[in-house]
Amino acid sequence: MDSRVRLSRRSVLKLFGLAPLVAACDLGGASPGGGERPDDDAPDVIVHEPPPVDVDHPDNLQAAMDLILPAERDATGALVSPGAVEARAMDVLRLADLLPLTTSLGLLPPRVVDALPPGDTSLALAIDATLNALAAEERPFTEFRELPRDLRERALVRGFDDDATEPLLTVLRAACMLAFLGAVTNDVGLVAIGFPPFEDPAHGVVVSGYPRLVGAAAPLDLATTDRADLVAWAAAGQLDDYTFDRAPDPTPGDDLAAVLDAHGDLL
Amino acid sequence: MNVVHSDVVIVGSGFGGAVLAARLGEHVRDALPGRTVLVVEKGGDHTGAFDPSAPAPDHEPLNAQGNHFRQSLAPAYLARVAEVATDTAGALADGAPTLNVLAGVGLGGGSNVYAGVSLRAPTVAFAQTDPAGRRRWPARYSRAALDPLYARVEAELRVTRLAWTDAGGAIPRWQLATKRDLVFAEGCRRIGATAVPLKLAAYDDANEGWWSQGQRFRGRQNLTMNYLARAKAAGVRFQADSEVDRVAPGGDLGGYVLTGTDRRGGVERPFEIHARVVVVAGGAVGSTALLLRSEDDFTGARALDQGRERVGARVLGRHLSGNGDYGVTGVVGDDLGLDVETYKSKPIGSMCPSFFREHGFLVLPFYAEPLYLALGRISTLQRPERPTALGRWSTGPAVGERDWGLAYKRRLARFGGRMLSMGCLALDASEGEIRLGANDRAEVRWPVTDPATEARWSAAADVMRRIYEALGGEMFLDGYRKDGTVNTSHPLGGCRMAERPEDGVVDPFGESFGNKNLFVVDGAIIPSSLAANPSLTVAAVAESIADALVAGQGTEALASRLA
Ligand SMILES: Cc1cc2nc3c(=O)[nH]c(=O)nc-3n(C[C@H](O)[C@H](O)[C@H](O)COP(=O)(O)OP(=O)(O)OC[C@H]3O[C@@H](n4cnc5c(N)ncnc54)[C@H](O)[C@@H]3O)c2cc1C
Repeated sequence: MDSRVRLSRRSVLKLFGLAPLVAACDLGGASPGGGERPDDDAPDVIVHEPPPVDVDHPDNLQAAMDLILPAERDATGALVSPGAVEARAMDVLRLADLLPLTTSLGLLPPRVVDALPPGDTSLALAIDATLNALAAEERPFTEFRELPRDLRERALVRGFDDDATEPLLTVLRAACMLAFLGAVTNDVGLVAIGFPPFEDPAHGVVVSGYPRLVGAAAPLDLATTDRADLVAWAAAGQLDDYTFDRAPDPTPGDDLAAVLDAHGDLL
Repeated sequence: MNVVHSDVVIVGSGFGGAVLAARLGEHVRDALPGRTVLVVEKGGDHTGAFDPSAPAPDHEPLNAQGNHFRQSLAPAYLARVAEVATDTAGALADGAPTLNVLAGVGLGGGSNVYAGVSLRAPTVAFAQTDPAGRRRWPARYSRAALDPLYARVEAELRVTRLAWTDAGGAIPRWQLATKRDLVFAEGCRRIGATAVPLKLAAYDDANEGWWSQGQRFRGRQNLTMNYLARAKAAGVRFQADSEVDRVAPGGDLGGYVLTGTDRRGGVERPFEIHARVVVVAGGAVGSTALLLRSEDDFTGARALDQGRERVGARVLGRHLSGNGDYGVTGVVGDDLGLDVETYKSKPIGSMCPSFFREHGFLVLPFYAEPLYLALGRISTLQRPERPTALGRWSTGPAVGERDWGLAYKRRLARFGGRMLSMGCLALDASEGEIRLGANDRAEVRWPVTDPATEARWSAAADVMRRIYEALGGEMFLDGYRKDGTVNTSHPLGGCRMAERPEDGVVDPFGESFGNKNLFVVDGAIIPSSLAANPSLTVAAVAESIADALVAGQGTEALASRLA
């Protein structure tokens, strides 16, 4: 790593009033291999798939979010599969309670929170500065979002690998994961990876206790449906509700009488 | 400085604090006019804050249950209702496991996030002995002794048993077990075991999903709907958003003075409360941390830790049980043709008790949050041994792989609606500890796993693995085996009760051995694991202590304490 560039990252942090972070970075030490690290020590970028078709990003944060959980587009640039940006990770990053929330969910280890800049420093601002500092190591005086995708990815890999920048990037990752898998504002992330969408009776997406006919759009109105019909549909496998009139088969030889009382409590 | 006086002060409003607030509040109203009871709660008053039927401009129209809840995580809510205590010192460094404890915060304590499972603790739980061979529970507690109190709590919390079928329309649909439970039951059946529907403190909207992540009040029996409502009706005062930092002997009423921070309205103000009788009910971690912070003000015969004082063996902060919690996640096969409802409907609806007699554990299936797939940094998902099972792979990055990026996203896509989580609740040996870390923050530790606990967890993990495999699937997350992480939502102990001062922090009535009128009544005093979800036992023990205080049976009556 070029010391001039390294200095530049520190000065970017300072520029944004993040001197304490610089100190924390120094404490957290040091990249493996000591203070100066040659470029070829940078971790390899492992490319599993051809990179998605890229688009311009309005800011550095979204450019990084689109690497953490990328949207996928066809050759024309049309969205095929949404990523963190579409799951509105930007909104999540700005949540006032982001840190306690992601910590209590297990997305952020407390050590990361302890390593963050103290006080009211905006996380988004700090991450933005970090991304630019990482970008400058790839191409001096270039913003993160302006880098080509492969260099952005390499910068991010480097950032996650560096004890100094890893905490802020882990916050960014947590915001992306929370938006995408926690479905904070929408279910596009869940649906993109094969989970059932939010409950939506209009389209037949319901939970146990709300039977519908297989393939039907809406749950049945139990107030007006004849029970004999329900029983017949269930028997014919036409009812998409496994809890309707369906109990598990008994288990031969497993007698719970010595373990459970009549109320369902352990004896 | 805001200075308040109250005859009785209850710190915390979970299953211990709420019961005491209701029972002592009603007693004071009926028999001790002029006396006052105050509940001080660290978290907020969420009552009504998330009224499911209120207009919500950002949301879609009403769902099948007639509310706006959309199975999304409600961050603003969740951040205020749950907190985690962990081991920041990183016990992993010396090879010990890391402990994470999750708890509820706010008026209602754990009932803001809990799954409503309401089981009585088994007889054998009360008969457990400590390493010296002494019974862990004081003599006045046994399953038989608690049964009438369990019944009382069940009535108050409207506990009902779920059912597999609606019995010809006789059972309301919200009271049915879920698809996930049927999948689990089939897995149990295939390994020769049996799943049964659970008892739940549910409400008429119990099929809502993601209870612990934004469930509004209609799904579960939140304590604000029962015990705390009763307390309020009896004239008990409540002060939410107010954290007690320390308790010390003295004050204007000749009892105790509590100091802390009032955060109501988003402004921090110090407060001082003078009380005759103090009931600490901050939960296992909260109460223990409060007493640890206050220790210096109690010395000699008044020392809070008489174990340390008398025999040099600490008891305060020790004997913390995780109730044998051990969770795993995996996927099930396609052959059942069942959508597991991974993250929908009731969080837990059934259990398998088949292994309890032999091994002392229960297995329960529970909702798997898609978020589990992202917990890469703490409970790293484990690459499965058979990565091609179901054509799905683990999300866990192999060495050199990343837990972000396109390949990671595509790995996530292989789980979908087949994810199923399971956990065991077991008799453990109360191996955990609570102490104060930086800024007096509560830290928890699990220094070593007792061989008996280890054997139970091994047997339970084996059973859970067999269930997944019987369903054509695979178990892929085992935070304990992979990372040495012990995760519990059921902490018990830290201020255990005992017959003798050197064995516990409080006596069998929850009263500090050296300090008259200073009580702890919550999960912190429970002296052993239960191998059943603890809320009902915490509440039943609290009922028992409240009865004794009201009647003056076995301990001095509240009336004479306040005279
Ligand atoms: C996600 C989750 C799911 C669960 N599901 C179940 C279940 O299905 N069935 C079951 O039986 N149990 C369940 N539990 C466990 C159950 O919630 C607890 O066993 C129970 O709440 C313990 O009651 P408690 O009175 O000891 O403490 P809590 O209910 O935790 O209440 C303690 C209260 O004290 C407050 N407090 C703490 N310190 C202070 C302080 N210094 N000043 C002021 N206030 C303070 C806290 O904010 C909290 O509100 C679950 C727990 C979790 C986290």
